[in-house]
Amino acid sequence: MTANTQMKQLVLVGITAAFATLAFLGTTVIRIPLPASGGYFNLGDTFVMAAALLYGPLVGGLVGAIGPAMADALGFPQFILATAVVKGIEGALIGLLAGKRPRPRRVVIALVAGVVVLVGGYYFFEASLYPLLARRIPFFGVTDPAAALAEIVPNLLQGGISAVIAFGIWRILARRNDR
Amino acid sequence: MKVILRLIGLAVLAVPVFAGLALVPEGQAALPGVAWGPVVNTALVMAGVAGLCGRAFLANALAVTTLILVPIAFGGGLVAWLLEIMGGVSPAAAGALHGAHYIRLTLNMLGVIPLALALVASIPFDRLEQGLLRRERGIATGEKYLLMFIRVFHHIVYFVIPNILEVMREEALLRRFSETAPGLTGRRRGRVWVRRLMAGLVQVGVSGICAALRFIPLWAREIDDLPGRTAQQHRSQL
Repeated sequence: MTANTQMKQLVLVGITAAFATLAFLGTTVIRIPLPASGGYFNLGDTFVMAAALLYGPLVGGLVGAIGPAMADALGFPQFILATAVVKGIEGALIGLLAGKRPRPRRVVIALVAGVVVLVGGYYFFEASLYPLLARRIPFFGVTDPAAALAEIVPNLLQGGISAVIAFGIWRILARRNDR
Repeated sequence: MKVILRLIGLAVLAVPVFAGLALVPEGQAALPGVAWGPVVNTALVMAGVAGLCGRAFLANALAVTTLILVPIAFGGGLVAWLLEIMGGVSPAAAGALHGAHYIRLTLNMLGVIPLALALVASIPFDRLEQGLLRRERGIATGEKYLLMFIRVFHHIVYFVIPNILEVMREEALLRRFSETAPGLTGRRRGRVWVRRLMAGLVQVGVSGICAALRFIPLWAREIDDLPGRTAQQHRSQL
């Protein structure tokens, strides 16, 4: 590995660490409870989405898989699996759809797809996979199809608000980078 | 106590708590709908954290737990209770419907959060960083990445976030963002309020990202310049 390549990779690791930490803190600080399942919604997604838009699918996916899952470790360890998978896919997909030089329209499409993954992914985990896993491992017995259904609207709100803020952050920082 | 012993002790405590295993056989309930298992697990965690990390640490961890717990357990419980009452259920019956769930949730959080905090606090990040920097044989590429991760994490947790919170408090940013223009009423007022709040959150997000990324190129150069652990170096030391 040449010195230049290693330097670039170190910068990439630093950026991933920075966004993962911001996503972790964004998830931990702003928590709004959901009575149906005992879970909560947060704004950590903003940093996952912004990382994917600014630095592409690899950084977006890693930030999504690491940051919010670290936050779940403090309080809701049952949701670590769902969060790491769903938000990892969300970040990677947004980065892929936005492309290398994203235009506002593509960014909006990417963010909408990300919100769909967020809502659909959590519904799949909480309505199907967790009840199935809970038959063997009681640790996962924290949700059921009714609770998952009740979480669709709050998750949609969480994704929507995060997407709007991420779009604003992308517009400011992308313009700064272009100069 | 040695760090490794403390970490092993906490990891042993974590198995039943994180896996939801009951250490006592299921029989008589501690409270209606609440088994003795979670109660025993929580008590074990408290005793274990106090023994391994000290009573002062347990007190701080419990203060943090309470801050997280209040909106989730009590706020969530209150909303669930109000929703049932609005659906025509009597207040007493509404309490009985969700009470056990929120008591279990509270017990779970009282066990899980102090334990997770103790585990994180027991990892000697400072010593890990110093140890990596002092290696005589140079450091491997993976260790360089780890060093970068630790440095960025520290910088954000101990400098970026406290600074942003300080600025937000000093300048009353959130209050200013959410103030509406005088003379506006109804929906227009609401729209202006939402727009301002969003703009404020974008501003906070941008400041956070810029401050977090500020030193990364500098650190990357510094860490890149550290002597790498090459095959040639190994041979010369043999």
